[in-house]
Amino acid sequence: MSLGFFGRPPVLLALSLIGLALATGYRLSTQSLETARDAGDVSAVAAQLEAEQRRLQNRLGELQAERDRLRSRAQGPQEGLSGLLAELISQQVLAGTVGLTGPGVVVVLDDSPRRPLRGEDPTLYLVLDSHLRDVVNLLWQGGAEAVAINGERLVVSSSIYAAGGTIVVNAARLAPPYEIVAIGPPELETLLKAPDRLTQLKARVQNYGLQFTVRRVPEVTVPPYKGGFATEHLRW
Amino acid sequence: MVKVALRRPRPNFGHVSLFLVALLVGFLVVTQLRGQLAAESASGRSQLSDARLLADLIEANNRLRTEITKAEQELAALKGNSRVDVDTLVTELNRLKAINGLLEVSGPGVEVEILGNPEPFEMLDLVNELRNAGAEAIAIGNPQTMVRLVYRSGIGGGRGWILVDGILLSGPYYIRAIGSPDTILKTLERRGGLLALLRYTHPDWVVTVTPADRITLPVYPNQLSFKYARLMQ
Repeated sequence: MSLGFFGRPPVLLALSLIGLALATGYRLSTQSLETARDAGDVSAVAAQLEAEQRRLQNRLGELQAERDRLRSRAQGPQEGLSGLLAELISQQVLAGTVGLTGPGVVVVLDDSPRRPLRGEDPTLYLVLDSHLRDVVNLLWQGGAEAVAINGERLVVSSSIYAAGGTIVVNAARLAPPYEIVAIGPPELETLLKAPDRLTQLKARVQNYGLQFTVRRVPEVTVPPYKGGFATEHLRW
Repeated sequence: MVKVALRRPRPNFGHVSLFLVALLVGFLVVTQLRGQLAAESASGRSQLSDARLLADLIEANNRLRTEITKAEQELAALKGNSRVDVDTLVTELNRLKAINGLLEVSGPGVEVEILGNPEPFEMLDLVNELRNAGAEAIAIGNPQTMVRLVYRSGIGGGRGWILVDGILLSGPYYIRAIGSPDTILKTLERRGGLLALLRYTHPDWVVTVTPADRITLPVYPNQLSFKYARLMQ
């Protein structure tokens, strides 16, 4: 039996390639489904852990408030205690476990409202963890005294990294828009707006429509850090 | 005169079909490859960061439990004899001072040596990665000076000169961190991790991570004062 046109070697090769491509496609779509299911599991586990975290944070907050109340009440008859307690508060302020208020700046970063062109890297249109790190680093360089992103106070152990489409700070998943509040000198606004600073971020604003606004405010509130500090390896 | 007859190509249906088939194959292969690359990068990235996120959440909750136990114990003691245990206060005060960079600290950890000329953002990314890996205290410097990092430390400068909180540092650079040497080493050295990226981008650099049983970090050298912030009422 003759296969005619379909029997020619180049056509056979082409047909095999189509078969291969289709088979690979099927395998990939199965994999994608599995990945999606795994991602769903991870998200569910993360949500449970986050709920647990909120419960623990609330419990710790209650205990600390009660402890501080009893400490200050017991203060009277004990000598030298008031000095010690004052020093403790100043260290808590430095550690970031106390809410602060003062003049400063509010910086808002948001993903671009534009849609990526065909074949373009979609991350060019998104706020990245590195953008937030650069802004925060510049705020510290400019003399900021306290900084928080979407309500997460930045402390000595805080890192800012990307995970599954969100940015994680203090084990909290944050979503855009990212609002960075900082207490510090009025010059922070000029520093952040200076054309030779945050050049990579500003290029994305210019070329891809990323949103970046800075405004000076007479009063801003930076909430306390609600987590704990790891000191298992630290000796002093 | 020689007349050259222009030969019009005869339509060859075999060729046309082959052309169409090749076009289709090309389209399918490219589509699949794109899909495959996207799937690989997406799943590779998300699996890694998912694991990191979950580990972070679990550790954060464990730290909270430890703090809760301590607060409960102190509260029980306060309720029992209505006196503040000075020793407990001093222990807490010193722990906070160690966290805040105001006491010299030591412990197991790692030393990252960078024989190259990093830009400030590269140092910043390294510090971020160390914090991510659970570093409990960090200092940046060179053989002459080590600068302990505090919560408000900023890294500036340019390629080949690094400013940490106004202190100028030249290379070779060292970043020392106290924490689990094993965890930090694995985080930094993982495939496709930050060190792999740095080595790939700068093949002439030598970046090494050495675990150590004992690392000592100095006290933060600057004043930490508040000019603008007040306690929230």
